[in-house]
Amino acid sequence: MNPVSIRDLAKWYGEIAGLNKVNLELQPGITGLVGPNGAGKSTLMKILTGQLKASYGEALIFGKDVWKTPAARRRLGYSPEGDSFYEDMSVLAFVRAMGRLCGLGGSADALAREALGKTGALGFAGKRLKACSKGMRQRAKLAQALVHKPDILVLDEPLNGIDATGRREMLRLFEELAGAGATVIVSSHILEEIEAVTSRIVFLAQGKVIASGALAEVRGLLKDHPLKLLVTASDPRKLGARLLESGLVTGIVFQRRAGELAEDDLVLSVPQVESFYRALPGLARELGIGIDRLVPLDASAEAVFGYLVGEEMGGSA
Amino acid sequence: MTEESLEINESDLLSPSPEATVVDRWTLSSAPRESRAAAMAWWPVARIGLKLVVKRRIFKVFIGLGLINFLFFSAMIYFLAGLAAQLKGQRFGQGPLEFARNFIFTGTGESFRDFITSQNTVVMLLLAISGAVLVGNDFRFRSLTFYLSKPLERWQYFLGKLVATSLLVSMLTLLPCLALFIEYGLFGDTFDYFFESRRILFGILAYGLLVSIGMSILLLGVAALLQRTISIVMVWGLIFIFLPIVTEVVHEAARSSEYWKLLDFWFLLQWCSNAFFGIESELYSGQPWCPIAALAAWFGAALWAFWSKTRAVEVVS
Amino acid sequence: MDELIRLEKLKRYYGAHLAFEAEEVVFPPGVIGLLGPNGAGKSTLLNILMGLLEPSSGRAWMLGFDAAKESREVRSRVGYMPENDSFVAGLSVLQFVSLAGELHGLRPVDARRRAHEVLSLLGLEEARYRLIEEQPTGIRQRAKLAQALINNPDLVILDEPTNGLDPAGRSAMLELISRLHREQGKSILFSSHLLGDVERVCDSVVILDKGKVLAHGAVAALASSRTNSYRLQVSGSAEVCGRLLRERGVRLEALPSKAGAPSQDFIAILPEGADTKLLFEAFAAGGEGEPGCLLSGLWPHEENLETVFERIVAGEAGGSPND
Repeated sequence: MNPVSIRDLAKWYGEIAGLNKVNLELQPGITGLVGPNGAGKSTLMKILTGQLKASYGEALIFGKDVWKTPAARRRLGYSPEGDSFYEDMSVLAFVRAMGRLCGLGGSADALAREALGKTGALGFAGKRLKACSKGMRQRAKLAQALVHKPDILVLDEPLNGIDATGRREMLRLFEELAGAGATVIVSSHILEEIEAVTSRIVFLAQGKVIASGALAEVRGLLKDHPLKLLVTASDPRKLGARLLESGLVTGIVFQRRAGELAEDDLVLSVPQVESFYRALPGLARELGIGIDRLVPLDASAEAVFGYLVGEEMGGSA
Repeated sequence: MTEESLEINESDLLSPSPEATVVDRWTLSSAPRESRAAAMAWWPVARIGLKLVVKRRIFKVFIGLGLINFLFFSAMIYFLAGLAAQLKGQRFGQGPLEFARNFIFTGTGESFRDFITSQNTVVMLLLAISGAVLVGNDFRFRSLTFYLSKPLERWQYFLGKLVATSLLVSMLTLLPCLALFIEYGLFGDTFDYFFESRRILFGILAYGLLVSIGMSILLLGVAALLQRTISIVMVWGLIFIFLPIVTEVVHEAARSSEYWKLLDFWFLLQWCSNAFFGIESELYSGQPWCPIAALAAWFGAALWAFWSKTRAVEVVS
Repeated sequence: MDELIRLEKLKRYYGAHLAFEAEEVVFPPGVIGLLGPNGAGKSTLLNILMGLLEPSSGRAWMLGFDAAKESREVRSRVGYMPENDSFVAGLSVLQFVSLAGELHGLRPVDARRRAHEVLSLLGLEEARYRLIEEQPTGIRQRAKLAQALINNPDLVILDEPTNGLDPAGRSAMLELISRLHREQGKSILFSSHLLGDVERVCDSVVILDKGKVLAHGAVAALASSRTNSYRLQVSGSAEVCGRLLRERGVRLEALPSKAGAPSQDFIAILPEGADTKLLFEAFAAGGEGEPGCLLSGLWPHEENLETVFERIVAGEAGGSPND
């Protein structure tokens, strides 16, 4: 039984489909949830955390319907995107109260302190939320999501407002929790950060799941977009001609490189990636060409996102 | 038809027409540097404030009420003038005319004072409702960050708000009163009225300005402190309805000292109006400096509230 | 103009606490990233630069003007895009941006013309006639940028400009910012927690912590690079790769991988005098065997902004390479 099981989920606002035909089975580990604004990410998370009722289909946590069985939410921790707290409470009091709401009882204080320690908020645990900066509030929010040691964590833009060092600390924390067996769902617009902690990504757009799975595999499925590879070689033209001859590439663009004596770089369109990788070392040796750089340009989550959502990268909307 | 030799200039065919251009949207015309004096930077603040208040539908209601009152007074003057003309030379007509002059509109300072005072209720209501739009929202939505990041000093911001609110109030009090003054004078037989009534004119200007600027200062203080309409309305009601009732009760019923009246803002305005118009009255028999000090206290408190709220705004937080 | 900003013996105290200090720092024109942990003194510095906060001692020069004494001059030549939403409720995008123009001293007619121009430049078409508070984040961020550009400033200060934007919006915003510099010649001071954004757009960075300027300069200049080391990404059997490479004298350091799977990411340090041809020899052999191993990524190993930042903030010697 999967920790999170979403079957045929749909949510309508009047006629408008906020979500439609969403099917997801999530395992322990980190899964990224990615999509443009308005794609339905928040709706999905609200349904998963039992705040919204689905119009159709079901959202199950360890086999139990989360809307019908509120007790199922005990194993769930949620860090929402918005910024609304009990402003007059201290950080510790807030996390403790949230812990008690999850049924923690007497150990709430100790567990609250532990959670605050994990998110780096112990240093200002006594401060009133009203007096806290954005980053501090975010850490308090994350602490309340963890306090009852849930098996499932739903995190909506969890790093909002946190500084550069803190971001990496929090990402490592998520990795730790996932390593210990939690199912962590992270929704974020900062795709490079998601990519840094997981390869499993769910792409959502206009209420539908348009792709999901390991990033590299999803990329491989985009047949319309052969992989763009940047190659820096000692004799680009000779290499390029040979590659064209071999049929390993379907297109070559010569790209100017900064620097006084630099040769052009090659940007290759490669339809069959594995064959290319297999053949390249031999070709290079045959021609006696040194290759200093081999970098995929559009295999990142951001590039894949762009292809899937169909917008031009860097264009103005 | 004669045959004409065609002269084709080759260069015309091969070079593009000099009229064709592609306009690059990234070319911005260079802005004229400040065309308005730096000291006038407060004027846009005032204009926008006025515009936002006037745009709302409720504003028309209050203007309507004020207008009705003004028209009523205006009509009375007109009626009197007509009556006087009708009864000119008629022996028995002097009675009714005297009656009319004494009881409807005397043309003395009292009548003009009464006009402005009768508008005060409408003004109070209008300001209560407009406080949020004029000032409160600037604190709620952090507009001050925007204003102060421009070449605008804090005092200019204050001046702009003050001018906007004062203009609003004087539209209901000072300006119509001046119109009535002119109307009354025009209906007389000669223009001597204008020369003889310099004291009345002074009274109108002084009282009108006191009401306009004074109530504006109060509103700026209250709105900066409380920011939301409901809170502003409640405190405004406290000042202008509750306090007067309480002081009346205490003074009349308990026969306490006259100085309780100083808590009643309406009383203070009335006392000042009598002083400006030179009207003798048994309204107050205490020391003359007390009402002045009380007014100064009210204004001082309001100014301090406004100032401390604006000082607390950090542009970069 | 060769000096954009100059800080001279600058100090700012809050009570007894020293919020910011800088001995002698000069920033040249260009796109500068302002980085630092929360509480590092970034807001204090920005407030001082805009002339809104007086230094306790010392001076800050912005575009040649004394920020404290000639604050109005500074603010009329600088555009500021705040981090939080700050607009005038009840106005349309166009009215808001026009108001910004009027506050700079433009006549209403000129202000409106400029507002239309700037809004077109930023790609805000029909949205310009709608109320700001009702617009989605992407439009609001661009409206904020528009009001900062209305006076054609020489320097634009951007505080977390990609906040709340989805990936496409973020990319578009960063591109806009680049073009402001490339096509309009404006200098930009970019404050952000997202090192990826800063790396993409900025020529140089300033790193603050605990109220001090720890380092400033181009990222490449601040980075320490180990010669002859390369980042390798492989697919297929990592052990086979490892063996083939070590046989040829290449030292390998595995980088931590996600989800506990065996690492496919390495730093390869080539032996003295060797070049990448050595690596390709190894992979040529690797591609033939079964199980095979293929090279899927290769680039010279340089410190990127993230590692530079981490190193400098952690307290290693991070002087300015411009000294």
